Amino acid sequence: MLDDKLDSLAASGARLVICNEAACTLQMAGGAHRRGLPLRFRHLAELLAESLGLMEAET
Amino acid sequence: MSRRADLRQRVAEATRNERVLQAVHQATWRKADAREQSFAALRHADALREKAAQIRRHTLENLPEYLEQFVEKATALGAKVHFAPDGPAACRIITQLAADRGLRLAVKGKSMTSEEIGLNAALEAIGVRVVETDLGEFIVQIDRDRPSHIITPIIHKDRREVADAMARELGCPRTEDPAELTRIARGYLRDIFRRCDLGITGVNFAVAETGTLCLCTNEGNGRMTITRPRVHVALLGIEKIIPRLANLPVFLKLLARSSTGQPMGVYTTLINGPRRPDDPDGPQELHIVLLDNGRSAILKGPLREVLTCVRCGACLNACPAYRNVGGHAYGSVYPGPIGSVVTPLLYGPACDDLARLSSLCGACRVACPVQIDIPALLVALRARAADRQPVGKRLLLSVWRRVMEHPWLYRLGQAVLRHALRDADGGWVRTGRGPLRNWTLVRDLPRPARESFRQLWEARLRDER
Repeated sequence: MLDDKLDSLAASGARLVICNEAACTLQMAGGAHRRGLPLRFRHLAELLAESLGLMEAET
Repeated sequence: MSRRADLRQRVAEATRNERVLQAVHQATWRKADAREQSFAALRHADALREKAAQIRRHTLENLPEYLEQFVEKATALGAKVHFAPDGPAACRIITQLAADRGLRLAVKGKSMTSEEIGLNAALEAIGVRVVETDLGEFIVQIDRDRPSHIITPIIHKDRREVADAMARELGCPRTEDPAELTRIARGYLRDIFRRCDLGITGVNFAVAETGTLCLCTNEGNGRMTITRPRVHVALLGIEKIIPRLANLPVFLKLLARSSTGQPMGVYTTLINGPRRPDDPDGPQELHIVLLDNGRSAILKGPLREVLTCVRCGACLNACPAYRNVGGHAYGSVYPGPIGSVVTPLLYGPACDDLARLSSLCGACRVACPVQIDIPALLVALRARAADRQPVGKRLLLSVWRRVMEHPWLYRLGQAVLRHALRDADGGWVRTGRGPLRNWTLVRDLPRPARESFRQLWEARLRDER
């Protein structure tokens, strides 16, 4: 199931994935890191905070 | 149902054959895509699904009345209606019919309900030969296999396996050409159709208002099955009733789209009683077997919504778990999300483990043409099974519960975890130990933040003061 998700994400060409569910984020981010996929995962609140300069943007 | 292997074992066994998994994975994606496309082209699709769900719920709320009406109308059309409280009773009714009339060769349309009650074995035990006429079921039967999908029984087979089975069992020249394989099966079945004397089918919908049986097939075998033999037995669960003939189009629009992405099935057959004196063909006798087998108990319980199911199979194709383990891992007649709800209800708590074969992602609910909230039903079944978990797991859950009930324990747990994982290599744990071992088998684990959200928040409040 994780492979299916990562295959779809990789095929989409996305670099940033917004995921608002912590367990799903852990699962996908952990899988992407294991595969060496250059994907960043953020909660919507993090994205907003980064955009508003309330939080340092991690790279 | 025989003793079942542990869920983990069944999944391990079912996922050993890489070729089977590939076949299931590709076919389910293809069917799910086809379903989505056909629904995108359907106007007012959601309103139609809502309507279908309403009709099904309304029917179940008034099932005794509608059943009574159906029996009265079907009987007036010349059918003989039988009521079977359980599977063995249904098998007895049908075997008795066959024995009394000296019937020897039965042809069958595809019927999951007959799988549910083990009808083929019961008929064969009294010397009646049963031949499946749906192509997929036919291949399952000659290969002594089991269906792994409620609509596409051989979704787990590729053409190589089908070619092997047909060459071995029918003695035909081996070919992997699907058209040629179909032609060979057709020729074989034509001969059976010429000689058969009993036709057995399931039923997609039974109309209370008129006593009509509706049968949806793609291959024409359903029609052959009810045309040639002198006796037709139609087997259906009591939940298959719909109130009026005018309700039928609602379901016909949804059923084939949900199953295969077709706008409509190839053959939609409406059966009104046995052959009439001026009919050129058709069975002399029509027997309708209404099967309860636990359904009225389900109807009285909190999970009755499951009985609105029309057995389209859309939830199987949509389910990421089904896609990755295939139907045999469920070890049940009805696999997939809907099977994980139906099976424990029909066969008892021994099958409750099926409710765990889901990530509760909700794709089944989105795919369901009658809007069954399958994830909610799975959660309810998990709750029912909670008391019967192994001791270790119960202990773990009670600790977890305690932790979640006491914030200080939760904070302590966080601190322990943060400390244990503080040295993660580059911010990631690659090989976890103890309870984290399984997690890092297939993925890494990010190191926890150095400070929790609560700590950051409290520090910030202090700063502002």
